[in-house]
Amino acid sequence: MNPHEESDEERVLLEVRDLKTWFDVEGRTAKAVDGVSFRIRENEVFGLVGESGSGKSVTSLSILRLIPDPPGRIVGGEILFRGKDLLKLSWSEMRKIRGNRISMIFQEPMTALNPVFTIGFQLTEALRRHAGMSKEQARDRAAEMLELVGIPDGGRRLKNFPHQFSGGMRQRAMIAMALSLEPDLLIADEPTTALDVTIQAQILELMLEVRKKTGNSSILLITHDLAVVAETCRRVAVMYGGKIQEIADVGPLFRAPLHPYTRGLLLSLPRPDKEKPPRLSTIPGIVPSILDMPKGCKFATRCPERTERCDLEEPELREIEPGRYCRCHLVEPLPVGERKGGGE
Amino acid sequence: MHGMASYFIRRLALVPVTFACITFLVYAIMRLAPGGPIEQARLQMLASQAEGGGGGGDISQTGETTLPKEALEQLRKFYKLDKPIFIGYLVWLGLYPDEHKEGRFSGILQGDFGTSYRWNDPVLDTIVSKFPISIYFGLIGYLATWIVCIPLGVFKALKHRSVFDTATSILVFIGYSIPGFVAALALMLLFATDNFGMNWFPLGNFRSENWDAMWAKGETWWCIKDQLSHTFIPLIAYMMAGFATMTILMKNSLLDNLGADYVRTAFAKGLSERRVVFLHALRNSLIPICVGIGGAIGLLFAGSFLIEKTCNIPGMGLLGYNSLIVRDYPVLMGILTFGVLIRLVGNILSDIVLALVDPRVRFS
Amino acid sequence: MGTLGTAIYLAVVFVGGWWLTTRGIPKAAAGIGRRLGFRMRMTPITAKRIQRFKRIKRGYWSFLFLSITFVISLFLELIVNHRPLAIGFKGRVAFPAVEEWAGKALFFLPISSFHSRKDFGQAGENEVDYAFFRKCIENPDALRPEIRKAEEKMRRAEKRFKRLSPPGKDASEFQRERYARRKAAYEKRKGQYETVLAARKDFESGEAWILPTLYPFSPNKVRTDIEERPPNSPSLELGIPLGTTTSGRDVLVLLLYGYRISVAFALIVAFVGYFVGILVGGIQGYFGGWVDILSQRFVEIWGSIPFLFTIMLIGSLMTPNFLMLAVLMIVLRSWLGITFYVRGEFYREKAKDYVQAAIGAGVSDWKIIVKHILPNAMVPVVTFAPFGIVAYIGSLVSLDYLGFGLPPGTPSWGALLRMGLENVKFHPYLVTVPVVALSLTLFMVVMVGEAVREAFDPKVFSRLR
Repeated sequence: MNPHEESDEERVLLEVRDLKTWFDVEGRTAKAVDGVSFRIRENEVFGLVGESGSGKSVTSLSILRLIPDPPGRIVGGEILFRGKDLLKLSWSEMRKIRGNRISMIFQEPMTALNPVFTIGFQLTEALRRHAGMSKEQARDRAAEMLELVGIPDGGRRLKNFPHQFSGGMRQRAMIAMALSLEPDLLIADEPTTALDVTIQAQILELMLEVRKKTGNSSILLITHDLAVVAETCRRVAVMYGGKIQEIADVGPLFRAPLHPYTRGLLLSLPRPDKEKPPRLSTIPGIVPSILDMPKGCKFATRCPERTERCDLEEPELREIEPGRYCRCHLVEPLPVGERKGGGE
Repeated sequence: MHGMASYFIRRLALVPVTFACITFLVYAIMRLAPGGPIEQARLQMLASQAEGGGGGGDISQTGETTLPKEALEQLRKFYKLDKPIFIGYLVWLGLYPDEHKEGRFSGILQGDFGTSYRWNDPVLDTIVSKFPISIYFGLIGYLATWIVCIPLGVFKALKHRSVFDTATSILVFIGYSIPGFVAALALMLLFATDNFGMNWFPLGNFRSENWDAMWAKGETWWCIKDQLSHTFIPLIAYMMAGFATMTILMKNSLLDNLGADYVRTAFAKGLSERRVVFLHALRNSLIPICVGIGGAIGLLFAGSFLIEKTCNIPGMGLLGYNSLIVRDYPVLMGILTFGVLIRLVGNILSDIVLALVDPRVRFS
Repeated sequence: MGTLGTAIYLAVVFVGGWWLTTRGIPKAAAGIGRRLGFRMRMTPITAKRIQRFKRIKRGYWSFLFLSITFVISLFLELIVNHRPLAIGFKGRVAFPAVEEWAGKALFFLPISSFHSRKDFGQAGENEVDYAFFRKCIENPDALRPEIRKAEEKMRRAEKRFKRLSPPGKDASEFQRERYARRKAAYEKRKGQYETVLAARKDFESGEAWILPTLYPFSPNKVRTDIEERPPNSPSLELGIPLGTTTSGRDVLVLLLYGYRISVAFALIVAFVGYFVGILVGGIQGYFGGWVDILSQRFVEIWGSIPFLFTIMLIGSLMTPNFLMLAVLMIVLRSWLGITFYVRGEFYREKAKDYVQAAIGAGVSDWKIIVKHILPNAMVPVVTFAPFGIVAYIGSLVSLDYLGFGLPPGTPSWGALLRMGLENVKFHPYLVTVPVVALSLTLFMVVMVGEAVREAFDPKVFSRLR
């Protein structure tokens, strides 16, 4: 082992290894997440990209073990958080991590808050539980957090109920809630998808900004929007069909995507830097049903470059170059020195 | 808060309108019932007026039933058959002078519900005197339903699809299948007669006959025991009405809420399961239960007829039944009025309770 | 009839009922539907729901049991009736039970099930005493007292007649008339005596035969064959499996006929009510605006009428018959509940693109409603129907129980329950039998309803920790 790798290893905050989360759907098994592995380092913003139904949300929920059982269950794998396997913790130990060391922001700000309790009540709950604050302390901290996420007059706003907030404000409140205990990891599951386009960028920026001001947490950002990833993340994993198809640093991924699926995703993005944007390209076909996944490569049904082998045999996720992984028969690992596209 | 107030004012303003509509409808149904004796009586009266003579024989043959002459006379007076429907209704309401009472305004608005033709007492007094007994059973029945159903529903939701859930579901469905008065009948057979050797409870009645005497003697303990033993069977019967629906409502409501996003948020905050279920989810799932209060009041009124008749409890229901038997129309219209009022008050109560328990209503 | 005959009869009843329910009626309904221009194509979702329903065994079996027994009960006159299926006497053949059934089923045709005693070897002009006829076939000696009675009556008439001498020329009008009257009476009695006397020979020589129904007793007939005073407790030896009422009517027969009336009432009230409710709700939801606001207010007010009380009020004014009660229930209650759901469904569906597209393309309102929106609005109807049926059976029973329902004498469960209440101390079976019958029936309907609900709208249960 070389020293460089060891220090890198030290900085790993969360490592997911071969995670499998399956669901029972009318007597059949849907493998929503089927052998997912990735690492998130300290203070890193890590993106997890994929279409809806690719298993990215289930992956994120699995980390906090928020999989509804029944019908779902985490079948196998490890989730190492600072070296400790979260899947082996007792529920009470797990609760000490949730909301405290790892917190989460959800996609739907309209329903993610309890309608019958005040914002203040919901904001202070975790503070009082995890940090053992008194009622007054917790209220002050909550008010401070509200101001920090750009809700003026936080002290008064604490008395409001969620329905008195707009969607954007609710998501701000969620961010305040999630970051108030300065967690090590913030999981943001499509935090801007349900919001107005005009607010999306604001909220994203706010999230990064507040995170810097609080504990400089790592962020696992789950999104279907590559543009968001490009702006915020350092590393990205691309998911399709319950599996990770490609992991790379953001720069190389955008410059030279390896997996045909990633390429398709990138091509479907409008390119503001080009003067005349090419016709918006989309990937043909639809995501296959989670119950009827193809036997070979999961992307084979829609892949423009598919070969016979792709139908028969599922490719492995292989390291193509250091820090860069791809799951495709057509992409061979290259010896050092012959890397195309160049490094950073 | 301002929107709330105007909302309630609007709801309250609807009460008299609704009230007037319903009572008028029933009044009109009574008068217009095709081939009914009122219609017959009216025709007969018109005929006799034309002839300038009095009524016919002792008994008037009307359709398939016969009404005694005095009942017809009563009907005639009470329903103001010589007047158009609308005028008759206004007289009853107290918005039109009543010829029979020296042209005074004397209707329900003045508190004059007429005089019971059977008991010769003012209708209002008769009804009000029966009110406490009905309320006694209605209230205790409803409270008991809450005490049993809410924990049961919660437990069933938490143990969804378990043996306990299935077993109690069967029980709940049996409860749903048996109307309250039938249950009262079955319970009386089992526990109030010697047929099965379990004659533990009295066969009907509100209290023992000598209750007042014993109370006067200061036998408080005996009185309480007597009252309770008389309460048991009707109480179970009252509970049958809401037992199944409330349990299932509670269960389904909690199930829905346990699957809600905010429950996931609460878990993600690291709250304990107990706090999430019993504070976050339960608080929300109680909303539909609370809102049912108003409807339940109306239901209890409807159910009381059958149960009071079965258990021979002298409340509003039995009064209504007996008045129907002897065709005591002033009392019947009075009971109807109260029934409608209770129902309308129940609706308003539901609105108020909803506003109290659901901030989304309160602040919008 | 013999054990074998009874077994065959039972088999015909149940197999026939099963076939009609599962094959005959659905096919006929589909055929009629096609004629009317409805195309019955099942959507995959519907197919899946039906499949799910069939998988819930207790609901599915309850459904089969209820529907088969109800279909069988439609032929109850052919199964439980004091009138026989067929009767023959000296070459004269009649089918009284069949005629009675046909007369009820085809009520617009004047079909009479009446057959006079004199045609069947019995004295008098009234309807044949079928039970006695049967007894005579088994043992012609049973006629002996009858013959003696007829003879006595004849002798008495004869004596009264013979006492008079034929009126002379100067006889008064009164005398003439009296003579003629007594003569006619004597001749009538003589004829009756001769009929009965001759009948004995016919019964002995086997010229009389009868094919009774399975359980030869009728709801409005007193069980005269029981000698003890009614009410009689259930006794298999005496042939009264569920006992008799205080007036001596057979409880089992009342129960069976009561089942038919209750279920038929509930079905009619539920389905006609739903039809009206869908119509009203559809109009509200589809057209919206003032129509909607006004009619909703109306529905709200109408729904606040205490309907049972109102029906009882009307019932105290006149004795309503089956049809009137059904109409009252429909008008006052059963159409209301469904309007909210259908209205909502119409609102939702109308806003959808495909309906808007259809409207834009100039498809007529009626066609859009029937083709596009109605199928979706059927879901709440189907899921509510069983619970509606429970409620309406309960309402009818309640009304009858209080005595403001069907006319007295109609076989009804409510009337049985009231009799139970009056006899709760000393004749427990009068309570047990209707209570168990009612509860079991309603329980099975509830099971069906629960299964339908589960099939159409399965509750998702997810649990976090």
